[in-house]
Amino acid sequence: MSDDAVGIPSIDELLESVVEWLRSEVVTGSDATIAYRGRVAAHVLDLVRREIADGAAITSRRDAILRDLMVADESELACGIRDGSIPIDAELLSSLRRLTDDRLRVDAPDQRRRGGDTEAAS
Amino acid sequence: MEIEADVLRNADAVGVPVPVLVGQFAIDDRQVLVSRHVAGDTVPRRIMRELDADSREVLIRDVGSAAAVLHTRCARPQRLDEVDLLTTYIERLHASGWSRPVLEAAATMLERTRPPAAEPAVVHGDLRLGNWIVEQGRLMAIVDWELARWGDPVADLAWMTLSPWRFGGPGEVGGLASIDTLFEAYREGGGVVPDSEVFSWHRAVGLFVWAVMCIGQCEAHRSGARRSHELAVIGRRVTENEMELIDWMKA
Repeated sequence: MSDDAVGIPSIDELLESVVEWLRSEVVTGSDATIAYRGRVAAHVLDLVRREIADGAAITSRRDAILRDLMVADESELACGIRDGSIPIDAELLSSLRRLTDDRLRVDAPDQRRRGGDTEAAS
Repeated sequence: MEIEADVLRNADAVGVPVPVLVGQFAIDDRQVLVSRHVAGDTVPRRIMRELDADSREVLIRDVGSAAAVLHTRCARPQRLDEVDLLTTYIERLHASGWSRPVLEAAATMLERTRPPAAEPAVVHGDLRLGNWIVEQGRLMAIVDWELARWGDPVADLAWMTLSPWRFGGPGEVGGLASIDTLFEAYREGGGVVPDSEVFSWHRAVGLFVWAVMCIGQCEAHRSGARRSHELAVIGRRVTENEMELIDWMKA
């Protein structure tokens, strides 16, 4: 990722500041519904921060995997699997695992750490 | 909703713990069911917190027994449709417009390896921690019957073992106890316990269904039907199901 174009504080620092406020004041508030929604909102922003940090590397790894499978994008891959032109074999499953493992870095890093037989993807 | 009332009545008649219906009316075109009050709690983390290891087993045994009664004795209401879960959710995936290679592979593999269906039964459809009213560690009632259908009862058992319904607890069933505990009570209650390969197929269908439900909830937000950041981010929960589906396909 390139350096932040605009300056200090960085995008990540700005998002982090909101997350901290959500967790310190909203999540601990007395209204249970707002507290819950605040917790989810903090989770959303943390996810966004992970995607900003890792998104470029993940995208370039994904594109390399898709190139190896000789498809232009995930939509083409999905269609090929659906119509049977791309066989579901060990090679495909290994590629799918690497794609999914990278998605988990952003979407659910806790599960990624828990996952027993998740291969190291990098 | 009227079908839900029929299911509730039939389930109550054979001793499945359910809220007892006392009335039914319509407001405009919305059906409202009124039941007798059931004391207890449904909030998963609170229930988990209040139970020690022994009482967790007791609760899951209650659930296994109740499921066995539902699946072996509850009469099919006339209007209760037969639903094939896998076919229904493959159609929903394709209607969603989402391109997910893992879900496509899972759909193909699930269709290819479909085991013979068990004797069809009234299936609750969402029989998981969160839909159990629990009081003093015992199952008082099973609620939320709107997904009830006529179909393969193994689906109900598999569904309650999915990761999202463990709420961080160690047990395979609702985070509370092992599948063996569930199966033992289910067998004692007259239910037919599936073999492990059949069970893991149904569990994989459950993962697939939950993934497609996550897509549906996210789309409720994206389409504008119900704008909410909670619904939006559920779309990102598809991934964790995909990883478990890959594990199933590799096995």
